[in-house]
Amino acid sequence: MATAPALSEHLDEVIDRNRGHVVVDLTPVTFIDSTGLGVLISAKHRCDEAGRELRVVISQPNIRKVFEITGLTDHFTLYDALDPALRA
Amino acid sequence: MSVSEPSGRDMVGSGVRPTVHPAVEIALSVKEDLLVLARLTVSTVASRVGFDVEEIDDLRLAVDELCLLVLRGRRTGRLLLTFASDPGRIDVWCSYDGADEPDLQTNAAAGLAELSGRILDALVDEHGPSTRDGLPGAHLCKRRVGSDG
Repeated sequence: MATAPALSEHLDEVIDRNRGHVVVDLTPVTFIDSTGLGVLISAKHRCDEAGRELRVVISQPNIRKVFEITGLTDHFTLYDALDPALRA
Repeated sequence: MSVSEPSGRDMVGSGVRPTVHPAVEIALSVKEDLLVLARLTVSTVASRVGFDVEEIDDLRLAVDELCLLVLRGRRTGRLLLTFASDPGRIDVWCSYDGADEPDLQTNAAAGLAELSGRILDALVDEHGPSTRDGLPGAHLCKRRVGSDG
């Protein structure tokens, strides 16, 4: 919850300033809650409207678990590592 | 011959004093973004009564979501949390003490509340609204795997 506003602001900037796909690297993230997920969902909506893809990189099992129990693994394009997400 | 460790309830009346941990209470200012303290507290309380690493991870997220459900977008006031445990079980109550109104109207708020609900459904055995000392809030309960509590 504490860092969600900063993440939201940063994602808005990235989406506004660039034209390609957006990659969100959650590799160093050790905790995420519904507030953080909400930011990602909003960012994905913005990308969808612009015809761009939002890709999320998750390497920590506990972070992936949160996506799984909320059913969001079907909603996002997920990668286990950054390289494949950048090259896809 | 098998030996099993009695639960706290089995030990009552047997002349053997059960291990009872006193409840832990904390008050968090909403303004300061201090949910990390709620997560740290539940980690400590849960580890004292034998929850494993994965269960403690689940409880950290569950308590965080419990707080978010009670907060509902409020920006001022306090969250009052009580952590009660006995061997095999932990209960957490979270109440809101303040004058701010919750954000119940926007689609975003409803969506986030639904996510919180799904997370709690998956991670704990019971959760729901509660009132404590006249304050609105919510409660969760998680039992340790293999316990009778």
